[in-house]
Amino acid sequence: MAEKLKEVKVTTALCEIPVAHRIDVYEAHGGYLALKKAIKEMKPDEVIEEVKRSGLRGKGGAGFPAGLKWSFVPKDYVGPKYLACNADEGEPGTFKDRYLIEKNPHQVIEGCIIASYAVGISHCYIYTRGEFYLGKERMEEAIEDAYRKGYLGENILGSGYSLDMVVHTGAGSYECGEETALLTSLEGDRGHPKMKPPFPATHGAWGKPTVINNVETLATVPPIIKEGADWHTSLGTDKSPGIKIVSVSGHVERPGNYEVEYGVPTSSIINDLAGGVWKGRKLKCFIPGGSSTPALPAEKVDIPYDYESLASAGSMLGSGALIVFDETTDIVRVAEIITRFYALESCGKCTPCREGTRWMLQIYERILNGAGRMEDLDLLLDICGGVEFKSFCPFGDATVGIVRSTINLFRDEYEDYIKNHKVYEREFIPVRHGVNGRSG
Amino acid sequence: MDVAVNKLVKVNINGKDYELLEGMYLTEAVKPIGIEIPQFCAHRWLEPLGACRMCLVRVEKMPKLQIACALPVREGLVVTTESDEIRRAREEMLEFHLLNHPLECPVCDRGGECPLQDLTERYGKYQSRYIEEKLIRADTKLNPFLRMNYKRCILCKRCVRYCDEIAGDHLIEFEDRGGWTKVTTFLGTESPNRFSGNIIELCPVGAITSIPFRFRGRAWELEKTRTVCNQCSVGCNLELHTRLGSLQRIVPAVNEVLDDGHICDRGRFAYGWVHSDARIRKPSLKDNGGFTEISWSEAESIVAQKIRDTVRDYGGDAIGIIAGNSLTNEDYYALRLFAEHGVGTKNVSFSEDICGLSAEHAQLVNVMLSKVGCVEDIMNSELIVLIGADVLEEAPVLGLRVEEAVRKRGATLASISSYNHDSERYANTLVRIKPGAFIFGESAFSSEEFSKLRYEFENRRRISLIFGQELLCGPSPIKSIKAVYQLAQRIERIRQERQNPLERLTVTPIFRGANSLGALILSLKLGVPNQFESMTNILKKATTGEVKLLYLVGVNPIIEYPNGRLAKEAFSKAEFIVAQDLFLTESSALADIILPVSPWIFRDGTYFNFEGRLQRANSCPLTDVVPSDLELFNRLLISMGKGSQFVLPDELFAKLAREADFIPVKQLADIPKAGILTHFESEAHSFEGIEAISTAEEVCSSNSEPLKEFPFYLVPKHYLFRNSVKVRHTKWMQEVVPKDWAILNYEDAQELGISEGDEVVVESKVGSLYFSAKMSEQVPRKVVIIDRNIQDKAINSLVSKEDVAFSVRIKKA
Repeated sequence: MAEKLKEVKVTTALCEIPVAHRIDVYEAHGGYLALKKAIKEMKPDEVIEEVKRSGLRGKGGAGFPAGLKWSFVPKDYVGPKYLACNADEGEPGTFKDRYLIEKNPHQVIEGCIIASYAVGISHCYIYTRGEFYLGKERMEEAIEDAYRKGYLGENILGSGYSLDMVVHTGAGSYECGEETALLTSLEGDRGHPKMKPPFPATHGAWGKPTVINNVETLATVPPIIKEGADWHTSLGTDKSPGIKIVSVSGHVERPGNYEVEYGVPTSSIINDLAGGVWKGRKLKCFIPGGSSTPALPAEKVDIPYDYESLASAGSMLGSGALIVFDETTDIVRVAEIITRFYALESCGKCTPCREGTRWMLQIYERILNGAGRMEDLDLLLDICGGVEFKSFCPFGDATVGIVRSTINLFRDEYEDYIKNHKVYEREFIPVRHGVNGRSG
Repeated sequence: MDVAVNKLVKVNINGKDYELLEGMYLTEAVKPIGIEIPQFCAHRWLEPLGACRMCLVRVEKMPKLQIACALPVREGLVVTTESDEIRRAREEMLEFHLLNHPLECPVCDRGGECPLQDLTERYGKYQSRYIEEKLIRADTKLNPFLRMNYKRCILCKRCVRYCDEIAGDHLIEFEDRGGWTKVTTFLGTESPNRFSGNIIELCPVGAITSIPFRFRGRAWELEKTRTVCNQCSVGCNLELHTRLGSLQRIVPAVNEVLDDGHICDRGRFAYGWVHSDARIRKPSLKDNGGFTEISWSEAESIVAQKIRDTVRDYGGDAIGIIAGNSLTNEDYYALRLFAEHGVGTKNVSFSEDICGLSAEHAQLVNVMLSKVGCVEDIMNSELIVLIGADVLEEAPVLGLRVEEAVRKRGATLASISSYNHDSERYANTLVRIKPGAFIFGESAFSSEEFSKLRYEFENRRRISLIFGQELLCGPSPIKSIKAVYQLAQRIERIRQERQNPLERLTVTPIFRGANSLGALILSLKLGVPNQFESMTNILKKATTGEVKLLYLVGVNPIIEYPNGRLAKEAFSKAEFIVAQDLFLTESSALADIILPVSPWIFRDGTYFNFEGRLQRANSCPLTDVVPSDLELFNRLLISMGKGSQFVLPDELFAKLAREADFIPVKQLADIPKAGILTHFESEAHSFEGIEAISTAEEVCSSNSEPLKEFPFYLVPKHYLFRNSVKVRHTKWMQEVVPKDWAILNYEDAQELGISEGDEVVVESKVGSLYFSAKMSEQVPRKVVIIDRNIQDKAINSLVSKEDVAFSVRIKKA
């Protein structure tokens, strides 16, 4: 039997120390050394080059190379530039950013400072999700400590470089994780996405060049600077170098965050780290990258966990949220729950996403109430076609993954509901459609 | 946009090559070449949003379909706008749009002119697959004019964006999220909005409909007449929609160089009075304090007889004729002929706006006309200075264009006023002066207050000065006007001295009337100046008995003349008063005989708007029982035995055009839709006749302290929704008219122990009136702002002399 998969703890290394959020503890474990190295020994361009060379990919979902993103910001821009650290983690199944900002906030801050130094940014926002109370408090405390120690504020570590950092709390909207919606929310408007182009790198918050990176991405920056790009590329696969926190949830024995190299078999994450499917049951299917990614059947469980392999299997790595379903799962109900989430969280800006998600939810509700029709399945797939790639932002594309994949994989379960007029007995009231506003 | 203007580039659309303007968004750019890309959310007024997804097109080398509304035309663009894929996408988007949209087109006011209906017809599928329950919400009112039907709304956000990006008053916002998103007013308030009516046409469905027009007719049944608005000096182009013998609604008719399709809510909604029962339709004779209706022939012979008798006994000059500021040029011309040939009087006044203006000011009028700037001049200015002008209230659409110049063309806005007002929202230089102290000469120019402005005056290449009602309704209006031209002259001189000449300097007066400029042109420019007298002098002559018979044409001096006491005295002293009017107003009620005339919607003719643009008004195809002013003058001439002189506006216009060399067309029918911008420049280049403001005058103006026992300055305000007699008889306007507010500073109110809504008494040396107190941060200390047009509370009754600052005291009642 092959050796059991082991975690490679890079960003989560300190998380198990109960007081790692304190600056002295962080420093005692080598914290802020990367910042010192970057700011004292490296030029901004060298930092960007190092991160580019490391192949660090954004960990919020799209997997865009971070160094490349930084290099899009105009260097000679006169006026303010901004960094927004995206801590609006709302994807169902994902809980890694929250873990980091609560347990290891200084590594995030250090990453933000290095990124800001590299791009020449003087103001950094930590955009936290509205519900992250503890995370927000921890970040605020940590920022205060960092100011006290001279890692933030005027003339950082005597280098002449200055940076301010504040926490901005969202009002509780999944959509604000989308980078342009995050910016409109930051600006004080409704969290609606903005037109791209122009891209945030040139016209971001208040029309100024803005870098938006995920918490985990930024937390990976200090180790890269400390250990070097070569260390990072030695991990993971060629195209997906490095490590990734996988948030494992669902029907496993030990759900939680596990930091692994890219390219390890998905089955070993489930079995070796998360303790396997719970109660000794068999795996039915799994969602590899959060609710926005299509589900994959049990037979694909050995697929390497990296961007390319998952894409070729017809799904996505997304934000690294591995949701596991055992053989007893009612997959139609799963699809309904996730569709409900998208219907309620759609920002309402563009027509296909706004109307499509609500329509799909209504159809799901009807099916679960025993009033489904066989043509509903094709209708659902057709709605998916109208929403996907036609919506304003990637939210629309995200909504269709679960619907399409579950119908394709488990059509018989849908047909069972429809043919037998099966009714799913819910515990809570469904969304009502015919009234003023929304309830339930 | 940093794209060269008017550069043509090669693009390929559906396999064919075209040359289109670079940088223009594709949806707009392809319209002239006969390609339609459907859209709901995009509009030429608004920034692209990309929400409705109707305009999806295939662009070469792009993985996804792209939205054409935000796709700038560029060299080498290869686009497919018609293919199976795009047809399918449009079907899908329409199906989504119609999910929640009720199929109630037969009862929807928008039916027949509804983009959703049209595009569904063209691109949609006839059968929806949606069998679920639709969202239902009760309709609400967004404001007194607008009904919001949530079921029909497709959330294109046009209305929200219009209020944000153009009207600037954030009336409307989105609430909630996803499919449950709804358009709502901020905190559920019903806020009146100067331009809210424009979102009726902007709405691509019937979600926002006009309350006054609700269920009054289908779009295709309405007969449409293009004409010019009569409510202010902008002269926006309108369409009158009539059906079944009455005016059903007013909508904008786009004049791109003037209004660009925006009209204000007064222009759009204040029309109900046209069919009001209160309108006078029969001549009435004063009889024991009341009025008795008499026949037309009786009325004509009484008036003719009276005029003949007066002329016989006292001479022609014993007849004083005062005309309002909203008649057509042809009416003025007819009145001139009536006064010259029929009556033979020199006591004729056409200048309601500047009551002191008489023959001696003919040169001032020449200077004013030669300096007037058009909308294009104003919008191209680098610096726009409002001088006592709350343009959003006085000439709303001009205000909108000024704001557009600031927002989109980077103009700098400055304002000189005694209080803060809405039109200054985008101003970056505010000069605060004492109320009425508009006579700023040399010393003001070098003062601290003017320092910021001075820099602008010395450096901007194109400057527009706009002066308005605060200056015109203040003390010494003629001196103040001269001071403005003085200022312009000084700017020109300084620039010449510094060898940094101006490209363009315009001075634009904002008068109250729809044809105030026409009145000035017809009297003091085209007429023989010394046949005209000032309104003030005519009233004064009436008090001394020099004028025996007052003939009022569409004018209401009892309320509108600055010194109400003088007007009242003149009325009581005059032996006979003839009033030509629409309603029984404060003034016509005092007349001995009232001759009804037809409203402006029945008038053919021409107007000069504030820019000097000659525009043609057309009568709507309804019949009215009463004659127009010019018909009436002709009838009187006939009754007086002078014979018929003119019958149709066309004849009078032809005569007028022959007299006026600045009118390039000779026939009424030749006036183009956009009107003709007349140029008076050739006749007066200089500021000849504008004598320098003496330091003494200036000091007197800026130092005029209010009387000790009356420590407050009263600033009369000209509101857009002022309760004029027409608004009074339009029932849906009543909700938005300003109340009888005396608007005070918070600190003053606190000192006087007055709180919001308290009844206060405003006293001057000569009278007192009751108002309700309202506080505003916009008002400086020791100033009180009161509407000029409050029914039964005309503030002109508090004024004893119109050439001094109005000082009053305020007490809690």
